[in-house]
Amino acid sequence: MPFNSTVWSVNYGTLWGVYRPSTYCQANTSASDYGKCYNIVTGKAIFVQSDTTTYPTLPCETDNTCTRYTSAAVVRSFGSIFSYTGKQAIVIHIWSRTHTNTVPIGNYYVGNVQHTTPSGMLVPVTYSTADPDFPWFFPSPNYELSSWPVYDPVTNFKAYVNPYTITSGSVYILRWYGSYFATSLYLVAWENGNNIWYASDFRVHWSYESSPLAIIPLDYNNDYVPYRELRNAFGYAATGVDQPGWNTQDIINVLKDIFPNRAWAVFDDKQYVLYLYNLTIDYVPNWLIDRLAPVGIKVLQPPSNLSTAQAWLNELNARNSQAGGQ
Amino acid sequence: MSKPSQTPANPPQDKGTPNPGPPSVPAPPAVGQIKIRRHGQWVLVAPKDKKQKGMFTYVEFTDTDGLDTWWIVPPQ
Repeated sequence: MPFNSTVWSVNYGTLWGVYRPSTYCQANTSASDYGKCYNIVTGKAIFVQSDTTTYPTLPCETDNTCTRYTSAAVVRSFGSIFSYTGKQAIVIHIWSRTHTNTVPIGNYYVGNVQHTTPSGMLVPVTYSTADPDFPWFFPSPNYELSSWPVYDPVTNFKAYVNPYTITSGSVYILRWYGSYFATSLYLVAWENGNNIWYASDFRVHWSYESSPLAIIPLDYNNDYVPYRELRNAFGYAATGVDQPGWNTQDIINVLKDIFPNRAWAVFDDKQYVLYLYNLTIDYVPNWLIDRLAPVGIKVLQPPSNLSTAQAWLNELNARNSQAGGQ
Repeated sequence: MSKPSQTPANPPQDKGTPNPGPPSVPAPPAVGQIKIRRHGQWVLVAPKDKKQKGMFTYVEFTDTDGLDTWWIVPPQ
């Protein structure tokens, strides 16, 4: 059984490809620039401030450099990375980098339980309510105080603290290589505090069994939520591309039934044919063509409204900047 | 005691499909036609359009299933 590999990344203020971003926010409530975020590379940093009376609006909200949460959480969930029904996936590589003002909680014990997760660090977990300090992927028991560039002879189970300095706050870097067999993966951060900020970039690489694919950003408007049964026809992935099912015609039938007015594509991995619905070839991005290399592209139905096709393209590009989407 | 013969006196003749011979070579395309390799067969199509997408060049034609179809063009 061949496996496909894919990569997905998120950028909350920092960017995977930037060597040493200097992103930080101001969390000192006495400072005149309280609530501002600086040197955002891409996306928005996370700022948690639950006091909406004293701080109805933070400067970083006004200038679109942060996403503010007004309720404190022990664990912040950022949703599903992939969720497959009856298909095998293997997580291979994780990169997680965080700039944050939170105090690391690593290496301490509550009773006999050792907690190992720095606050504000994006970590993957294998079920939606999992505790991120359960060390599926996370290092234990030691971190390494580091200077940049990080010498990284054995990346498994090692996290780096402050490999470079930022104006305010600390830097954590976690890299993990291995093979973790999972059918679903979720993204969470341990917070457990208020008046905290973090700016993070996270990148995950996984493989899954080669299969026909449903190519549609399912999380758009949470449209798929009422249709949990489609998980039996194909899976979900944050990329909107890596959504394997068992049978091309089943996927087409389900999508026609559930999303007759949206644009979508289905890739037949046996015949190497890409089927388009409410799309034309002009709306299929080059990076998707290069990745799938279909020998044929068939238009099941041309779009009656080009904005439907454009919305599909925009959403797909937004979820795949690592693959070439803009 | 005679040694059994290694070959039967009258070997059965293969009366199945005749030798197909070398693979067929597609006829040169007529003017306005392009040959594509589809499902293991050479097919001549009259393209309506031609586009470069990513690393590949595709031609457009109406397939036998009635669908508007684009197919990769091999070197002509």
